[in-house]
Amino acid sequence: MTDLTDFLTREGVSAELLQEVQAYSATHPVCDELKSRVPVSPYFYYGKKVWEEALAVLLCGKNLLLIGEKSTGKNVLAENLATVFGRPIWDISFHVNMDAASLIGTDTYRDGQVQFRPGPVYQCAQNGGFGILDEINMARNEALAVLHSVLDFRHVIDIPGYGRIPLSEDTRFIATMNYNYAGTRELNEALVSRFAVIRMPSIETENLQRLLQDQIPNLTNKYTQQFALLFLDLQKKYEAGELTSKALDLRGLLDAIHLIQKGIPAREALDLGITNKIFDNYEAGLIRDLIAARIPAKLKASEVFHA
Amino acid sequence: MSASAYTAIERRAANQVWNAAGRYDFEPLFLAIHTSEHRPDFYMNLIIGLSYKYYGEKTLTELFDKWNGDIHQEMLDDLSWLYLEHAVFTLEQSLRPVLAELRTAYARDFFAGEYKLSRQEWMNKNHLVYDLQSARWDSVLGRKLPFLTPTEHRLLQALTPAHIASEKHLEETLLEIFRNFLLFDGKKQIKKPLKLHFTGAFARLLTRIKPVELVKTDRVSVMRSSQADSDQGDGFLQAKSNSHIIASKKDTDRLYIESCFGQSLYSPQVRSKAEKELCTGNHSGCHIWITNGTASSGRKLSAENRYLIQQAELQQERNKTYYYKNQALHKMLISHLSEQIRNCMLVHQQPDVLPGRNGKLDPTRVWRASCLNDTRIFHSSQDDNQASFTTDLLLDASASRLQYQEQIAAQGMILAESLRSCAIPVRISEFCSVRGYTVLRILKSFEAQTCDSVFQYFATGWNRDGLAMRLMDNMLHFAPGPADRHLIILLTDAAPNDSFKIHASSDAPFGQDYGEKAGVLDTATEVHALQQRGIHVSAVFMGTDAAVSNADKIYGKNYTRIRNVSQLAEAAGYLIQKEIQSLND
Repeated sequence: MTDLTDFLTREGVSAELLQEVQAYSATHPVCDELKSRVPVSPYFYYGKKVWEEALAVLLCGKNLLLIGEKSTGKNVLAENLATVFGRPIWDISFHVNMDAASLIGTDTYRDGQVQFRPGPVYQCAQNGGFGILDEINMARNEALAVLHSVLDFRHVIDIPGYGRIPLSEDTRFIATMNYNYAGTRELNEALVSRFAVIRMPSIETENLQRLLQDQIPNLTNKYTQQFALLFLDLQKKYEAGELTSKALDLRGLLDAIHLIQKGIPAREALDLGITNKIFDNYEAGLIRDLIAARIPAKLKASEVFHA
Repeated sequence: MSASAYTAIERRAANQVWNAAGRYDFEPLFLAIHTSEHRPDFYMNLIIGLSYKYYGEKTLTELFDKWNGDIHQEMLDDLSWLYLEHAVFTLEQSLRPVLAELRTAYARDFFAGEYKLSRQEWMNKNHLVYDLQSARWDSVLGRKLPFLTPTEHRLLQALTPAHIASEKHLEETLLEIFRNFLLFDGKKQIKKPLKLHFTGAFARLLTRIKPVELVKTDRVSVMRSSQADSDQGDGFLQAKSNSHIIASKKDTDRLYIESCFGQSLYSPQVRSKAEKELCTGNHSGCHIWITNGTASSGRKLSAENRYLIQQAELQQERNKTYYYKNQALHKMLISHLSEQIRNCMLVHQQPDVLPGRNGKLDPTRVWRASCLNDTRIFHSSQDDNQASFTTDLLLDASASRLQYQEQIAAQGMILAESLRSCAIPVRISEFCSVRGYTVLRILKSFEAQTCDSVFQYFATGWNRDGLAMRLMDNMLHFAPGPADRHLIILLTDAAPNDSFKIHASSDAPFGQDYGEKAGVLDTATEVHALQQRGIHVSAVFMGTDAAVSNADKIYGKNYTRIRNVSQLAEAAGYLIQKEIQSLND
């Protein structure tokens, strides 16, 4: 957390906001058994404006909806927020078969009687955690309707047969959604109105370069720039509809750079990290063209990294 | 991106250009492709893209337009690219370290390629251009320059300047160089095309090798797409006056239609009954023909029909060749479209509720736990994978589609394969009108396991859209497919037009042409009638700006416009996704 706070200070995030967050986390300690749920992310989100908006929203006790394309850092930001507030998280990945029961809890038959088995939203609400509702628009709206009373001013979960359970005041929900992803739904107005919405911008060249250098400190400036531009080339091609989002894999790019450091030739490393994840040969060819336009065929590790 | 109908290689080349330009919103004026080796030229495409990056689309278009059509156009293009290559390399090399390596590889390739050239290719080369290119690539490789005359030497220096022209001065700089070296004085010298008018056997021969002007007629003819005059666009000449159908010709026409398109799926009695129901009002006196293309057996064919069948087979072969030549691209499009539709189905489908061992308690089953030891006393949901609607893709196959036959067949194939992989029943048909017959030809039925029959698509004749709509309605009763709900997607130019006139009525005592206002109004009425009966009709509109208002009148909001036929499958996929959403939301 100290690392992250230092990072935010360096980012120029408002000192007042940071002080408030620190005060909040100091006065709202987490019990020992939940400490393992407080995330320690290896990545930081870059973007002062978005950070300030998100911190302000959560300090006001509101829930947050992060909308953005793949690789805009939605999940990194969500985890970073839990880290800086020092709260345990419950990751809830939404999918098409998600129903109300899998969010709140289900009845199960055990020892000759029907018992309630709590779901992640219930547990998060009871323990004052941060619930990360990942890809919230993948689920059906009727499944999400159970969240309405959790997310609005009522702050309760009403479970038929088991009563109303009030939420801990520390509970926040951070939802993420990729608006353009094929097949996803429109969120209904009632649900969206319960969130403050941040549109996540695509990562900028400068921030991407900083991210690469923070992750791989001995990367030369010249190739930090080339790898960052390569990722932005992929992003443009994806936005133009020439590639699927599978190729837009920032972690894959970082993995490839680590492989180059281990002595794997650059183009092969990029194949391992990015291109081989695409099973369509034509699309893979387009990605190889992008790589060939940035990365020399016989690039040596000594040119990419400082000794 | 407004990509035209690129082949797989062209699209890859265009991608290389767009990538270097950092923009995807233009169509490159040039693409570098090794025609003999059938691969894009990576370095030159990079240079083309970088030229767009540094000089912009407008400047480049205006520059190359200065000598477009000039007798020396090719030479001037090549010399300009020598200048641009040097200019953008100089500007970009510090930003893109790989560029020097690519340039050297290109220079080596240039000389290696010399050995592969035939004598004819050598003769076709412009010697000035070739000498200057050799000198450029020799210098890149650090070799001694070839012998150049003093003028050539000065020209090479002018095309390799130390000071690079800005976007504002590029045109002026190049024109000045060309003027100084007496290559182009700014005035185009255009070689006028020779125009001759032939008829009969000469005309038939010449249409195979020269551009022709298309005339819609009531004779079925199968023409290759490349024979269609690209300059004609939608402005086909219409020889309506010669195309009346005379009642006494009824049997001859029926036999003609049968031999051209195949046996009717309806028996004579069923067809006659259907004609009585459908060919009324604006379509009074018309005939219908629904076929799956099966040739009639035991009938002697005339020489003309035999020729026609042969041409249709050739077109089928061309459709197939086009599709398989670009298979990599088409496979990618199928996989993208399937993924989108599958996602959409997953998200929007309604689950079946079944008894399970956990989930929501079903009080009516609780007794089973203690009495029968059956612990499945909860509701659990399971997704229903049965398609809840059928899709009919109805392709306009009138002569206005002549230029796009291969691409339409390929797009039909892409859509059919995508829907098949998502288990959505799809039927693909084409329609056209000839000699008063509106023909609906089923290329792929709901039951067909393979989609190869889509390659049988060919374009000819007119399009009486209103009657085609009635035919589709009839067809949905005759062969409704495996679901109760139906979606019809029409590829249309929203310009219904038929040689067979609308009969006289109180509104038009002398009858009227089936086209323009009357055709649009009739089609709109028929589409509306189908929608009233619960059949969803959407259209993929590919036509002129002038026809947009027609599309509005006919389809209301239920259409999507495409600029190029290569977007057909994607657009139809979008309409299908909308349908899936509306079914379940």
